Amino acid sequence: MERVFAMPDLGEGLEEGRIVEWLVGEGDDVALNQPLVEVETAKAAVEIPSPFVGRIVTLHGGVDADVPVGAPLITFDVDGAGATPSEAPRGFAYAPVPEQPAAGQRATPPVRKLAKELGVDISAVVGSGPNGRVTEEDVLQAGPLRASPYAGMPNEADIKQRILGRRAEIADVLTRQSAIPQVTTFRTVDCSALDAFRRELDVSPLPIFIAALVRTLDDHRTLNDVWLGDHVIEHRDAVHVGLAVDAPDGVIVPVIRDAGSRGIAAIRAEIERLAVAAREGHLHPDELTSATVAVSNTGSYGSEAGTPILSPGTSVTIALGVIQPRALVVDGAVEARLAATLSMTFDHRVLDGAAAGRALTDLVALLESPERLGGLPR
Amino acid sequence: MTEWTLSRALNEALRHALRADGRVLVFGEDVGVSGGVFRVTDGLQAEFGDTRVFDTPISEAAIVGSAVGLAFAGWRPVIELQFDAFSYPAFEQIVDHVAKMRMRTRGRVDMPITIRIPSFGGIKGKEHHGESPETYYAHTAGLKVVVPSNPQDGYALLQHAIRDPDPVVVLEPKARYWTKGHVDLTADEREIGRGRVIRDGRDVTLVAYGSMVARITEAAAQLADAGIDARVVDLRSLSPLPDDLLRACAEQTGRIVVVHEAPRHAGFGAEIAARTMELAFDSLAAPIARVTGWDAPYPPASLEDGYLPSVDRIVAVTKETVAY
Amino acid sequence: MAEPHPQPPAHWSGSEPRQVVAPDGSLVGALPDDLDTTALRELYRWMVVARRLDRECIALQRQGELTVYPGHEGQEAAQVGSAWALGRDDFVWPTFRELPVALIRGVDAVQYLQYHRGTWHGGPYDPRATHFGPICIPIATQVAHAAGYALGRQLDASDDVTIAYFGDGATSEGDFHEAANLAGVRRLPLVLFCQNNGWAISVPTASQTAGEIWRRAEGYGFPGVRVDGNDVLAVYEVTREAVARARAGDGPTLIEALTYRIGAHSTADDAGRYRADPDVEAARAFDPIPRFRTWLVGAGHADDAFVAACDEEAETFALTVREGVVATPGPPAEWAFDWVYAEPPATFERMRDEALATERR
Repeated sequence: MERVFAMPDLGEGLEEGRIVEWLVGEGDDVALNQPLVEVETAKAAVEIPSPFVGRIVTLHGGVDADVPVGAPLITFDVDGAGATPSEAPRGFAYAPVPEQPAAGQRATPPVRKLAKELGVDISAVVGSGPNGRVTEEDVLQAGPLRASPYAGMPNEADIKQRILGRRAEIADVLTRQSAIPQVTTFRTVDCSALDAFRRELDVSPLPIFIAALVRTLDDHRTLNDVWLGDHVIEHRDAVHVGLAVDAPDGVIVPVIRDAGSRGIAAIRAEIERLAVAAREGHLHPDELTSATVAVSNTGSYGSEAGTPILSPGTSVTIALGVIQPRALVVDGAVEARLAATLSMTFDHRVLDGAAAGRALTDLVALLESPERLGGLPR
Repeated sequence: MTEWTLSRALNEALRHALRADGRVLVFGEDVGVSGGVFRVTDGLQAEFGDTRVFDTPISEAAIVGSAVGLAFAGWRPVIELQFDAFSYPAFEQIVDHVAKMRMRTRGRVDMPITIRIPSFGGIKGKEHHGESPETYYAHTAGLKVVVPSNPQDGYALLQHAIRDPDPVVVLEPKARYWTKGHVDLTADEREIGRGRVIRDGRDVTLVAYGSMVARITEAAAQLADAGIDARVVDLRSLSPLPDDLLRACAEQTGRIVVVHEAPRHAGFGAEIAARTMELAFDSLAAPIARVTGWDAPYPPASLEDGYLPSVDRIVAVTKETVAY
Repeated sequence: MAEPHPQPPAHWSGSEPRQVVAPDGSLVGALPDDLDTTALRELYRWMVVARRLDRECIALQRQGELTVYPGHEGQEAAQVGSAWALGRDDFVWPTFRELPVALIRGVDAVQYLQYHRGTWHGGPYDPRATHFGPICIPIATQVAHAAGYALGRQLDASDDVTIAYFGDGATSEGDFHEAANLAGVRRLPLVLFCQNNGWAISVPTASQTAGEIWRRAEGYGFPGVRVDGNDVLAVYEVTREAVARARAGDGPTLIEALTYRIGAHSTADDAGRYRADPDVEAARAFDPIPRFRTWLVGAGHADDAFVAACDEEAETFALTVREGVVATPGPPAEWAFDWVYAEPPATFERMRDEALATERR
């Protein structure tokens, strides 16, 4: 029967022993307690006596080898039964401590603090977390939705301001989005036809622009795709247009859902509804997510052109610059015309420049064509 | 119902134990004719003789070490180590042997040893007479540690300590030895391991043991004037820790202020805070606050008042905790 | 007569120790009057058995079956002679090197060695049944336990005697002094038995204490005696006298038994770092076993056949103990908790349950 004798801990907590000299050879018959090997440790040099009666099969390691404690030192062929090896110590094994039943309202300190700041009576909130724990979500649901949980937080210092709440969220989102390889391409659009058409309908240019964008997407479906990661692109049928809106706590992007099924008037009404809801903080979370393409009306505050960062979930975000008279060359002559700059940022993983450029060209062509504008759903 | 000082209550507890159990021995330095420097053993030698109640040489290690041997011989030693800091020469015997001997003998030999140590400050004592040694002993597995704060608890806890088959360290607050209180001689429910709510309250729980119980009680009265409803808890037992009580206090008041004389760093308040957090983290509405002695050696008598947690400090910290 | 003997170890200098059989095996003192041939042969037999087991233990340590093991080679006479002088109900407080005493007290060797196997602290034997206290590592602390036990027996008006074993190094500890002083003050029925083996790990007795250890007794108000600790009959005789004094209520005695630690302090120690081999070889000339054998055989109490039978018994015993030790499994995890408290607090039980949760599933 083969038995492996491992390097014992010859001192107190030693980690290895160095073989100084083998006192036996492979194939030798050895007696119990016969010296086998001289080993030098960090504390002393000692002879190891044989734990078995038997024959040496293998000497593990040559002279000067450092053999770790517990590693094989000698393999024996042991005669008969020999001493019975003891069963390995059972020792300890560990299991998770079961959760004890809750008493009273459970909530972590940050949640309690949030509730306090929102004026929410936490004892009245039904907890949805483990063991009925009140979560941050529970408190937000119970409180006035748009009240900033961080209003009134003192500044840490006069000079350095700690950014919290929406502003911090925006910063985090933009930082994430800016990691996307994105390119912005520009086109100037003659807005004479657009202006005439909006006067006819008595609307601002924005709902018409959105309707035109949705129509353009019919011929350029790729613009409505999104990069999911892991080299997967998702194609989407419905077009949800995100519209960047200035809100008290910073920009938000409410969504005009199924914009393709809406006419210009309906788009206009939806824009107004969303803007009011945004200002008053009554937007439903669903109204803030799932844009497939986004528009930023940078012209609303006089900016001529922008380089928008892609809105989350979109591959294309278009900025509409201010519409104002510009010196345009019309039929070979310089002429003052209402015009604007369109800036289209696109996800370069989804779209190449040529595809994006063609789409933008088509959009501009539509916006400059009274006939085609007139063909948009009213 | 009787009105006794804490010293007298402890004395009566010893007398009761000596009468009830012929194997009980009381010994230590000056516990015989003198009756102990705080008179806790007053009259016992006269009543029970010098085989049951006797003086030893000034040898704390031998006092505790011989108690171990006496326990092997079937005796039930109740020993006095004269002052907190004078328990340190016996530290090896307490930690290495008293605490572990039962386990080392696989339960064949109990260590029913009671180690009484007049402890803590507040009496304008000399150097080495104001130490708070509770954490050393509470940290030692195998020991039980109790701290009576009043005559009733002194009477009850000491008797339970003597009756207990395991070693019990009784830390007696020197500053409370001469404070009188009612003692119900029949009351027997206050066993080791149970804390006591002295005053109920809903806004915050003040937790202390020993002399500091009187301070938090006074603080609670002042806080009530300020509209804060503070619960007052006398922990009484540091090992085992009445952690169910701590959990209930955290759940019911959401705020805990711990007060002790010992320095804050690695003090017993840290254990109270950690245990409470483990048991009732979700119930806490504010950080657990500690009002303690400073992280400096116990100062001379003239600086003592500024070192020990004052009622003003306790009130101020409690207000901050409630306003958090 | 034998060759002239080498010089004895340095720490034997000073006052002459009591001696019955000289290192060369010649009788130089009065034989104890209560030892018949059977008893004399038993003393020899136990010394041989103890030494052989000691060697087996060192081998077991080298083979990973014991953790650190402190050998007692060279100290057999001091231990066997003193233990032989004790009555059945007398109580022994050992250090960690009193395996021979344990054997004589009837402690099961396999159980005793569980301590060194690292499967139990103190020792799993019953100290009350064997009247042999738990193995004690903290130096001199057991002397205080012995004083307390002696006090307890004194208070019970028993005539039982207590004996504390300790080494030369222990006499530097406060606990030794405190316990000896207490023993003197209360005239305790206590024998303080110091095996002065010359070494406290690496520190020689001369660096440990400037005086002769036995003389300290005078300061405590009781007698001290110096004995040749490698002379089993002399050790028996002085211990018998000390036990008789204690039993008669005449108080404690301090015995300084001069012996020599032939081996290292323990298997974790390399004695070559602090002492020279020739010194150890010289000390072997004072080995207690050949000396006693010379006298025993010479005086006609034993013959070669008896000597051979002792060796054979020792061999068999050592191998039996080996088998028992190697076959002992590690303890179950419960044992880490089972005896900590007689009345375990609920908090303690909860932690125990937490630790054992998997085992119980």
